[in-house]
Amino acid sequence: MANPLRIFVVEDEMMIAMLLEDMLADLGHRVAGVAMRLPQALEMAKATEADIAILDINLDGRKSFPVAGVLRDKGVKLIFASGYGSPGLEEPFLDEIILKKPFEPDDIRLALARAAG
Amino acid sequence: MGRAGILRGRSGMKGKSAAMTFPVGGGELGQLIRDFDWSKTSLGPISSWPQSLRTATDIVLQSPIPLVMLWGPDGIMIYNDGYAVFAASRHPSLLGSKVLDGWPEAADLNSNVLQTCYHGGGTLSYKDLPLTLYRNKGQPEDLWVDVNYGPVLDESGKPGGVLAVVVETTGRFLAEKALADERLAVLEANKRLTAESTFIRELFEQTPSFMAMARGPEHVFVLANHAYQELIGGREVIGKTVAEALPEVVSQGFVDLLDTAYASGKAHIGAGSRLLMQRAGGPEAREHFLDFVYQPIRNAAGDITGIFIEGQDVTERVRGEQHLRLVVNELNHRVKNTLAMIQAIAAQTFRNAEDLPKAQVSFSSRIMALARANDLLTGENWEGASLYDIIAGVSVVHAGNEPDRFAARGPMVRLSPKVALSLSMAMHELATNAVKYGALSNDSGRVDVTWTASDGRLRIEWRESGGPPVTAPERRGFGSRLVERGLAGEMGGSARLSFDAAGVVCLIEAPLDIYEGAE
Repeated sequence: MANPLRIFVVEDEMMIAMLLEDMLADLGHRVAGVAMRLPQALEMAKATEADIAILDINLDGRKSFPVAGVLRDKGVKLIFASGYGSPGLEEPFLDEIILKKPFEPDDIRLALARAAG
Repeated sequence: MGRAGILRGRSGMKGKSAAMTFPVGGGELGQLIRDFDWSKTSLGPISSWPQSLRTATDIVLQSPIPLVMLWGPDGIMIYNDGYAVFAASRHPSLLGSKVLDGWPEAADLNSNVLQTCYHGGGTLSYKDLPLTLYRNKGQPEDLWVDVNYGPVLDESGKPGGVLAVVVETTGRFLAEKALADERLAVLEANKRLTAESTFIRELFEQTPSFMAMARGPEHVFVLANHAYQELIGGREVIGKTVAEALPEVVSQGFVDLLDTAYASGKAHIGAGSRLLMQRAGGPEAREHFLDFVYQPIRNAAGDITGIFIEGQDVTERVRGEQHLRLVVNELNHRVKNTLAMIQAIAAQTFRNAEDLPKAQVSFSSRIMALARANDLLTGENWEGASLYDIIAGVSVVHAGNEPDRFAARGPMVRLSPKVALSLSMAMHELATNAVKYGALSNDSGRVDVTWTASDGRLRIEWRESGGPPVTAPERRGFGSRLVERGLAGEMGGSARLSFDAAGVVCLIEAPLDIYEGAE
């Protein structure tokens, strides 16, 4: 990848968060931060400098849209990871990119390319 | 005795001439008796008959009602025209015969008559006495008679014969019997109908299906069974229209369905239909699911007169189905989640693996650790698990033969399913490392896991001792990363792994509140 991106990851499943970290590193990007819980994610969203965020919609029963709002206000591009049986997108994020689980490195590469424009 | 005609006849005829003209008159039987050769009977020639017999014979012959006389110990039969009608085709051979020979089919009766009245001097009386006689060309015939027997005294003052008044009552008896039978049959039929209607009413009342009958285009309740009363919360509905009695069903479209069924004559069948039903005296409506039929009922002329309402409350079944759907969705979610974890474990186990066979063993044992954590949570209905159970599970697998080398101590702490899974995986990594390189790799080392829960913080310490001297690994592996990064993130706290020379120590610290479930 010619252009390494700074990526913020919000994912409540420990193993999947680690998998994402590895896949992103393999794709040549830098992980700007990993948050697994909503309060922590909100705090980190305010502080973290990132180009793109990959957010799991469902964080142990809570929706990650407040975090998405903070990030979008900062100009961070959004990719939503949709879990199994988790709720879909809501206003005002209906047009955002969705990354369906389970994903392969290529799915992430394509989603990042779309998000980066 | 003492009838004028007879006395006159006797006084008018003397000696032989009187015998020649006895008896006087007496119709057909009078003639037959006069012509009969009585000398062949035990009575002897008619001329030798004692006065008592003659008088009695006169009485018999002059009587307008059927009479028969049985004379002497053999009961020789003398009877009148009325009796001849009764005897039918057995007449005239009965005349002058012994009664037991004359009526062999009634021999028992007549033996008793002779015994009682002739020998005993008593009387016998029967009303509607049933007999079967062969008086009609050898055909058996059932008949009923009123019959009275009394002795006739002879000159010695003892019974010389028996006089019988025989009145056939067959016609009256059969008519009365028919009437009685008919009355009995009507009574029986009434009883049966009453029993049937009681039975049907009980059936209607007690059947587990709800049933009601609504009459006319306004659907006025005329019947409602117990199950229907239950459904509608015990409200009084008989005589009211459906709309009056159950106002809440109107807006739910049920009266429209009744109207349509009444107008079209076509039954409406509802399957699992949702109904909000008011309870008597309770403000809140209850949700029911019903399988039901609105069946239009026609009269003999084919006109629709009402609607029969029948069905079952299938609320429990529908709820069961809804619950099952939830469970299936939840199961599907868990299976996919588990597969995602396996994908992650595989990716990280085989990533940078230098020794494929070793990586395969690690992978397999990690999958087993995941499976055990799943079992533990399934046993707790996926509501969570206790910290002790998680540590104990790891201990059994990695130090099963020497349980005293692996101790777990701490207060009761419940963890959410997600945290329980992650902690199980992290403990598995620590234990695997201890068995391979650490305190459980020799004969004397031990692992102590202790925890405290105070001031809203949970502190877990994993401490190895007595193992071979520890050297920090050159490169941090999956296990280290899982504990220090993954677990710390998952629990919203910190996890520090230190490779002290005396043994590996891992300190985990996190807020306590998140383990109880809701954040």
